[in-house]
Amino acid sequence: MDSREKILGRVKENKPQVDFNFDLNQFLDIQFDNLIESYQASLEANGGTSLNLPDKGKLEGILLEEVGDKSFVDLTGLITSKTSFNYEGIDQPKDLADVKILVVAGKLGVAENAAIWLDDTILHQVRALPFIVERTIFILDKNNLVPTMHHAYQTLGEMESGFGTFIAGPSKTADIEQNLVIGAHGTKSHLVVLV
Amino acid sequence: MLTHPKAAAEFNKDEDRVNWHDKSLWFVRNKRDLAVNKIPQWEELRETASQIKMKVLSNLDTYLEEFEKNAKANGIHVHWAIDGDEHNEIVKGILDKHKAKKLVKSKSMLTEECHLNPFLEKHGVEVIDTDLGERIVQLAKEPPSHIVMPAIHKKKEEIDTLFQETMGTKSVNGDPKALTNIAREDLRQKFLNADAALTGVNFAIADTGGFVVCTNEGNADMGVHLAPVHIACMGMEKLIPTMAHLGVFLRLLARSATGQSITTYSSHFLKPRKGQEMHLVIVDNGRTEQLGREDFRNSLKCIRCGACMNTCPIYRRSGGHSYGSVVPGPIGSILSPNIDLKKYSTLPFASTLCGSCSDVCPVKIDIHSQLYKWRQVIMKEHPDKVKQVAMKVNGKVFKYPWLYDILGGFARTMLKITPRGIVYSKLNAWGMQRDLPDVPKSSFKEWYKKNRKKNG
Repeated sequence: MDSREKILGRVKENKPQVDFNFDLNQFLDIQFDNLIESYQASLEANGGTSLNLPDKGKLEGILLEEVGDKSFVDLTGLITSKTSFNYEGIDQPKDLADVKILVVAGKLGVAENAAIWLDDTILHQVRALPFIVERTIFILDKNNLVPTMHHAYQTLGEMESGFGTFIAGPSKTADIEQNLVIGAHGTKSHLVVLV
Repeated sequence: MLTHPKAAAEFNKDEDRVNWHDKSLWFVRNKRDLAVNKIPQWEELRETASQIKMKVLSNLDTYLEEFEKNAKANGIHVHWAIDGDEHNEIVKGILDKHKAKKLVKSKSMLTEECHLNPFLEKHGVEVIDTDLGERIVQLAKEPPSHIVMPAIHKKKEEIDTLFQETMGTKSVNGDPKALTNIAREDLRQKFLNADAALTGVNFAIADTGGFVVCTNEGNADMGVHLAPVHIACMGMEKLIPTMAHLGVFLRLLARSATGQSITTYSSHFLKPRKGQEMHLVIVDNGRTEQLGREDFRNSLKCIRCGACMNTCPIYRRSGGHSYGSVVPGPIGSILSPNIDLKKYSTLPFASTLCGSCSDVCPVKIDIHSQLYKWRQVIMKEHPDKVKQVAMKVNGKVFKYPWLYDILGGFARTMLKITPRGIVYSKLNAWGMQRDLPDVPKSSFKEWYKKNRKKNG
């Protein structure tokens, strides 16, 4: 008998016969007075920064200023007057090591914790991108803000792509005497532009 | 191995360090309280999480089969390991197949439990722990002292010295930002050149066959998205039924662990990326046995947040290493006796039974009740002869009131006239750090007779 059968056999023998009772819908009732302000406060607590734009008119100008002369990948198509690093020709993800900035549009944002959902479709299958760069700039449609994680999973539904991630701020650590340091292995800064 | 009381006594020789350690952990506990008090329905969330986990444990076989079927359909290679040795052989087999000699790892308490690192190193694999805290203890050749903050016992100046000795860096006067940056630069090269990446699993989802890995540093993602092979190792109890249940657990985990609203990265893996191979190892290693113990099976609900450690007055004042187990603190003290009752027989006694651990547990494990129950099991299987005799004598004395009166009077006289050096000898464990109260002139019974009779 192999380990799989042994383990499953033991589980069948030893598992409890107990009642359980729960209701996930009770958590969907919660409402936030102001989703945008809640989102921004959560993001600030996570060490990220945000811009709340009244209209999309100035968006490219802001992005161009942010990018400056650094190497960047723009997955939004918003930057038209500068050329993005061409990731399509690369053999291995580590060839992205010199890219400094990623501009990407999040699918949804969660007000209670500032997390933004990205997946394979949004990332064009280049999963390493939001982690290997030094700075991420997220474009987030204000209509895509939800109150909590319960609402986020309700909105996402079935996972459509092979990888997805919630990113809630710049990478950080407090492993040295509980001192918060921004910029552990992932990004050193994180900007969310709400449009 | 030292028993917990002996190891704790060692740790307590340096009182300043004990106070510093105590405060560091209490700081985290306070942050947890602030985060928890901010959201409504916290208690409902805990109760729901506990019930979801109960549903999983009650149907663990069917969820495991469902998970395996879906994971395989997604292109993940699924392996089963009955114990730590088999787990290690499976991981080695995967690495051998890919001729992988450099492995980057993110935090996995399971691989600590299986002693994977020394096993792989023995077979010529360079294993790099990439969580900053784990990297620090790896360089110091120490085990982690906390499951969320592995190097919480180390001072920043000690880490500075450690980096100088092991990486040849210059002193940065213990500056945490500079030290973090040194580790970042060093580990970035390791990520870029790794042959394979290994992660733990926070949650595995039965109905999708996917799994979730949470980090703040981004080290798990840096590892797996760059390396050609991803190996994920999970204890079989990590399952949850569906994606929707993640909403409950991701809200609880980081708030309980560090007082954050969520970890920076919560990555959901469903399929390998193009050109990558993804493996998943499901490990038993004593868990099915724990599942069969009615009194202790709730411990399998644990999501490894560490809140019970941060709040525990014993953990804070004895340090994680004093437990001598992979998972220290209150939860470790109920998990470890299942693995080796004799070796870990002092751990269930490393508690005041104050119940704070159970109060903060996000999945409502009755930790302090289980500690008490383990004590009963241990006293039955490994009786303490001295205590047994003492309890028998006590029983006799309380049975006969006349004997109690005589002995009480005798004790009051003897305590008064015996020299201090004899009363506070090694035999009196209670009196090692404190004095007995002054001996009263009479017993309560004598006092009551005299005064109440007088006052009618």
